Amino acid sequence: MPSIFTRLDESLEYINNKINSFKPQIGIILGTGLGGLVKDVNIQYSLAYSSIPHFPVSTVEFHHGNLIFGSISGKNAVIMQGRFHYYEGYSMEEVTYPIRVMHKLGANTLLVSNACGAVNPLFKRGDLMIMRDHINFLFDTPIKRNHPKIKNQQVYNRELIDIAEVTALENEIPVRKGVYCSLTGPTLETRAEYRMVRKLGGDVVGMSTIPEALLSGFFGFKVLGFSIITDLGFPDTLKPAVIEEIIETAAQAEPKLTLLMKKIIEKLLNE
Amino acid sequence: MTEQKEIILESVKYIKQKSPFKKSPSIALITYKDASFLREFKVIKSLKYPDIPPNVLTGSKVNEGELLFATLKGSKHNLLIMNGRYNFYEGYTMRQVAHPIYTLRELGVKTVVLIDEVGYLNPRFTDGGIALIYDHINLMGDNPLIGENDETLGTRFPDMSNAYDYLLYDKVEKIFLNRKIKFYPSVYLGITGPETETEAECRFYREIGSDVLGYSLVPENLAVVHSQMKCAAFGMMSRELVADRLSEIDVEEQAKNRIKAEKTFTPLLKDILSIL
Repeated sequence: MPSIFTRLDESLEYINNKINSFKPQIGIILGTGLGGLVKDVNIQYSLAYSSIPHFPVSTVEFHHGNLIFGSISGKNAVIMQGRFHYYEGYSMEEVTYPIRVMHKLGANTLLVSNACGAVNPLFKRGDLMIMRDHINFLFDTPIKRNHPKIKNQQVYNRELIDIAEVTALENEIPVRKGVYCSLTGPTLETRAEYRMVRKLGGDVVGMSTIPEALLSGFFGFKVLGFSIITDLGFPDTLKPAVIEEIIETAAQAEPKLTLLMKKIIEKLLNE
Repeated sequence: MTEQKEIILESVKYIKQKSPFKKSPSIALITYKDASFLREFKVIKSLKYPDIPPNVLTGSKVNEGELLFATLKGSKHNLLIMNGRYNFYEGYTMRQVAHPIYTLRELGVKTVVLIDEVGYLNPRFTDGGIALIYDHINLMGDNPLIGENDETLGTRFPDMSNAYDYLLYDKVEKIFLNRKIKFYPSVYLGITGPETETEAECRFYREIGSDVLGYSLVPENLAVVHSQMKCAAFGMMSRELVADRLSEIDVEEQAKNRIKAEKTFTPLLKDILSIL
């Protein structure tokens, strides 16, 4: 296989040919609960992942796989419709390949969402949480080679967190703020694992986002992450998780997250 | 059909051909190699792991384990016993470690008993005691379910709230109580090994809520849960890993402790098999 830099060049050559020097400022990963945001995008180009040379292909049934280019709330954005999870067997490099593409295209802000289980007993099903920080329990990282300077002390941008909080208040959307801890999955967590995460300082547990946040943070992106609490990981009252319920909870939370995200994007400075 | 399933079915086909039992057993016991309680079983037939096709499981050396078709002496119970396991630290992948579990399930097994040698972090525990495992923490940094999911084996996101079946656990507890044998309810911590733990690690592991630790049981349990079987698990406590009184591991002492636990466990086997 050619080196990552050669592959990236080839992906970029293809994309640039298709999008006629469209310059995205924001990268968006349509994770759980953010799928509806695409309706508010003035789509200019949409490229199937499978058409882009060297781009990984999404396997999860309820995800589409398109790289969308368009404007939302007046900002140019490159949008991932469908993402790559570590538990699906992708390497860290594959999971974060789209981030490299976004970086090369000139994006400098990343907005991302995910579904998670809460271990903070104050949190409720359907709550939104701003990712204040994370704990990486994936035992792997996308930042391994050729990266002499790591500047990940503050992956989740404080200004964006402030904007998100203020915007949520203005729109009367309650939000939490907390620490996202990622385990590999795909098995859900045992009671003992939920207890561990809480003890270590996590508020929620998920299986995604950290690789993308890490690499984009490394590239100097401002990162803003939202988690939707779709199930409760309280060890002492744990009930079997029902995937249908998780999906339903995410769907119910979707309108408020979509609205919030749109309002936040409006406030971002044009750069 | 996925490649994973094909390989499983190939193993299943061979084992079925060789099986001396008319009806395939619904119970399987998986243990480290040559535990003394295995002498309680009448072995009707044994298959060496490397002889079971497609034999794609390649670790750092030839696996000397055997699959035993056995009955417990003085009992009608037929069962399959894995005498020796595939350990992650020997270089097997997680998928390879899980392969025998799926094979057992396809052979008709409904309940799996996992037995491991463990070190104990809980300061109230003792050498030669038996840990009744009711939960685990996976700190191996890997999971046999990572990768493509074959829906015919199990769901994408298995729920782990009953990873060690609580009804079975209750019954096992009663057996220990009836026999007046002390037991240690435990959260099992799965780590890769094979190096032993530093003092700081022992402190950390205890702090996050573990009672005992070992290198093999977690991926097996994950595959058991994924394939909708029930799991009961026991730890033979052979070494103390209490941070503030950690001493160098004496291999002979360790073996002595393990055998002591096995001796306590042996007379319970019949009762345990009868509740499964």
